[in-house]
Amino acid sequence: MQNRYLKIIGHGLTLGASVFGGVSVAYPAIRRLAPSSFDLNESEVDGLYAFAYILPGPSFLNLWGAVCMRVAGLPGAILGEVALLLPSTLIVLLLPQLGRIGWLAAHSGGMGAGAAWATVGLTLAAGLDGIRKMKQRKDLLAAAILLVLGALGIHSMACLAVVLLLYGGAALWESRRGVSA
Amino acid sequence: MLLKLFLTVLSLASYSFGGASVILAGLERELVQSGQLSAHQFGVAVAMGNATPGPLAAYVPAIGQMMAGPTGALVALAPLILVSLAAIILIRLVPRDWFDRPLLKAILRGMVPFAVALTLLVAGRLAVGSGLQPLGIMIALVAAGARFFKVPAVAIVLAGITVGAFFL
Repeated sequence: MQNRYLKIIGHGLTLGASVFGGVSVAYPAIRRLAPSSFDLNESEVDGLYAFAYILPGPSFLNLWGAVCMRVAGLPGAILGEVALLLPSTLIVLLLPQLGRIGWLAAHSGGMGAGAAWATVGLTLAAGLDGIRKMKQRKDLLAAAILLVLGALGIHSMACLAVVLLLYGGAALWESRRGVSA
Repeated sequence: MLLKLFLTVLSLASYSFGGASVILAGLERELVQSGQLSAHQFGVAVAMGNATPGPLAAYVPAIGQMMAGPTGALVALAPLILVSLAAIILIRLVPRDWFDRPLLKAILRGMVPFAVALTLLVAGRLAVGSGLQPLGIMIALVAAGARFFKVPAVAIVLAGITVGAFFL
C-alpha cells in the first residue's frame, strides 16, 4: 500500500517537473508508465483521458488525478495532484526572488514586458491552433460569434449560454427530425 | 482579497470545460478588467506559468502570487485541486452510456469554439492592455509563429524576457 503511494508521489513529481506542454504531452508519458507502475492497461488510460477532457478543470490534473484515484482511491488522487503541482508552484514562488538580484533587478521592467508580450503571442498561437483544428464551418462561425460577443463586453457565462443554446438546440432539433422521419 | 481570489478561481474552474484557456479568460476578466491587476502584471504572471513545467494552469498560482504573495499562490491553487477531485469523484457516479448521448456530445463540441474565442479575446485584451508597442507586437507575432513551429513555450518566454531586458 505504502509503495503505491510512494510511486504516485514519485511519478507525480517527475511529471510535474519534466512535462512542458500540458496534457497532450503528458498523455503518452502516463500511458507508458501506467502498465508497468500501476497495473493499469493502456485502454484504461485512454478511457480516463477521454474523461479528463470532458471534466471541468485542467485536463492534465484531471487525467493524473483519475489515474491515481483508480490506483489508490481518494488519498491517492489527492497525493498525486499535489505532487504534480508541487514543482511548478515551487518555481513560481522562487522566480520573483530572482528579480531582486543586481542586473536582473535593474532590467526587471523590460524583462516583465518581454515576458508579457511573449504571453500575448503564445495565447494568440493557442487560439489560432484551436481554429486550425476545427473541422466544420459552423464551429468557426460559432467562434466568430462568441468572439464578437466577448469583444462587445458580454460576460463569458452569457457566451457559454449561447454555446449551450446553439449546440444543444441543434442536437435536439436533429434528434427530433430523426424521430419524426 | 484571498477569499475573493479563492472563490473566483473556484467558480471559473467549475465551468472551465475546454481546459486552462477558459480559466485564463475568466481570470483576465475578473482581475484585469476590475483593476485588481494590470494587463502587464497579468501577462508576466501567465508568462511565469508558461515557463514552468507541469499543467498549463500553472499560471493560476503565479497570478495568486502576484496578488498576495506565497499565500495567494496557495489560495489560488487549492480550488483547482478541489474542482478536479470533485469532478473525478462525481464522474464515477455517472453511467458510462450517458457520455454517448448526442446532446452532451454536441455541447462538449461547442466548448471548442467557446475556448478558442475566449483565448483570442484574452490575447487581444492583453495586447491592448500592454500598450500596443511596436516592438512588443513584434515579439508577440514572432512568439506566435515560433509556437506554430512547435518551439517549446518555455524557450519562447525566455527569448521574450531576453529581448525585453535589452530593448523594452
